[in-house]
Amino acid sequence: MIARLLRQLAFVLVLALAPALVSGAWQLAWKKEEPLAPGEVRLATAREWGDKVQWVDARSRAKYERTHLPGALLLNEDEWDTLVKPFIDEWDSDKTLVVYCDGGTCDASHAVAARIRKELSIPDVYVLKGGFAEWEGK
Amino acid sequence: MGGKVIVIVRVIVAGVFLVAGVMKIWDFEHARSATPDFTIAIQQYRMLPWPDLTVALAVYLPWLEVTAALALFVRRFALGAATAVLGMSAMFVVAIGSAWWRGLVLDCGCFGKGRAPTDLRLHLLAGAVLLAVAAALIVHEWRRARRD
Amino acid sequence: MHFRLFVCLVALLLPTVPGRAQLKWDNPAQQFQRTPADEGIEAFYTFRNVGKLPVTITGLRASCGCTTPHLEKKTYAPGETGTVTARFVFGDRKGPQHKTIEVSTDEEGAPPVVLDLRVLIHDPLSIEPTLVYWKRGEPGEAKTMQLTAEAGQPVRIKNVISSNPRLPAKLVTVKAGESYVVSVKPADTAQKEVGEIFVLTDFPADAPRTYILQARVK
Repeated sequence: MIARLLRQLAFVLVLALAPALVSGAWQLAWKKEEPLAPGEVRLATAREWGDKVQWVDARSRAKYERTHLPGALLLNEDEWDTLVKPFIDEWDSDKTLVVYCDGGTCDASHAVAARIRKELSIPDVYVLKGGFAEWEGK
Repeated sequence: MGGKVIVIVRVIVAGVFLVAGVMKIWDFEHARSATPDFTIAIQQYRMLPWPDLTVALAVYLPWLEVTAALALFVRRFALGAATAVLGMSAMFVVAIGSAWWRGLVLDCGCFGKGRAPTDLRLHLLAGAVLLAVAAALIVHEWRRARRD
Repeated sequence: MHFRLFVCLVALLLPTVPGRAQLKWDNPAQQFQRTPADEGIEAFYTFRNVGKLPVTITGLRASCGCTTPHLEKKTYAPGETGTVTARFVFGDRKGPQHKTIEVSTDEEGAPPVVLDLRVLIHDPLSIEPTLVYWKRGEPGEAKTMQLTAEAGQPVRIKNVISSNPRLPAKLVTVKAGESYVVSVKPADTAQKEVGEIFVLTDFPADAPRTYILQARVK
């Protein structure tokens, strides 16, 4: 009986694999979108979160003052110690933090997100894939 | 009486899995593949450290749901399908339970992309019910297979 | 991630590409250890044009705005040596830092060289987390922050003071000079609270540092 169960289970698992492989291959060929690194979120997804998102600007103060995403809070590593207090004051614990930097190869957003997670023990933090450039390109 | 109940139960379980699977395969609202959204949904559980495995799971799992749902109605495979349903329900309970335990706020991704964060405790309950029902289905199919 | 891996591979393989890259770097990957008090670091990457043609450096790009690369001049004759200077200003960075500088040249077919700068900035006292918070209505259990002194450099905590009596802080000495715990227990979590917790240390002796931790009821 157990053998029969396992045989049937294996059959179901393999049967499901066939369309999955076709679908996977088709989607791979169809769009070559760069995969997300751990902790990253795409702009489209963050947009759909709507009001639940709190943008965090990990760029320099000068860039932030020139322009930033709506409602973004400035928190970078250059001035972490001075910025962290106002950041914590403004931060709403019900919101999801999405950190961005310039885009391309900048890694400031990942560094700031890691510190928010580690030093402030705020778990709900993402990094915006493509950064500010992605937002502007839209 | 048992026969009728089991037919209804099977239809409901199959229906849930079929709908859940299809909605994770195709996003009807935007007329596009739902795989990217489901990939993100899986990522949000932060349980799989390998991005490639996450994508593979996002492609495979919905088809398994669909296949298992349909196979529930095929006498020769019903026992295996019920086992697959049990396995997936267990996976669901573990994922939701651990997300709840870690205090994550997320959209469960159960039926494609949701709009709001999921009430995890409610889903945990639903998962437990699914688990129990799947177990009952296995017992039923087991007995029937033995009679055959 | 793949990109970075790719960049590393390129950097590794570059010296093995024969007859292509004319600039030979003496030390393209450098590592340092510093403390936040150093505020910054300057790294020097020397190179030599080992080819038969002059080479012009067309671009220097740092991975971080905190790192500024600098070059005396742009074109180097065969046999000539030069130096790329990278100045990395720490700001409030801590822990392991990895910055890169991409050097592009006018050599045909040669990919840019990636100079690698790794600095471990170690703080005499590391604190984790630096924030404890409760949501309103959440059970007001005590939450803790761990203070750990770097090995071989004892830092004693003289006192902890909370700015808000409704968020009192308590100091627990795990091992004097090495490990402490600051525990905060709110009076209640009925309303929003803002508190700063001042941690007074004895280090460095001439100007003892005070660390500021945050406590909130949100």
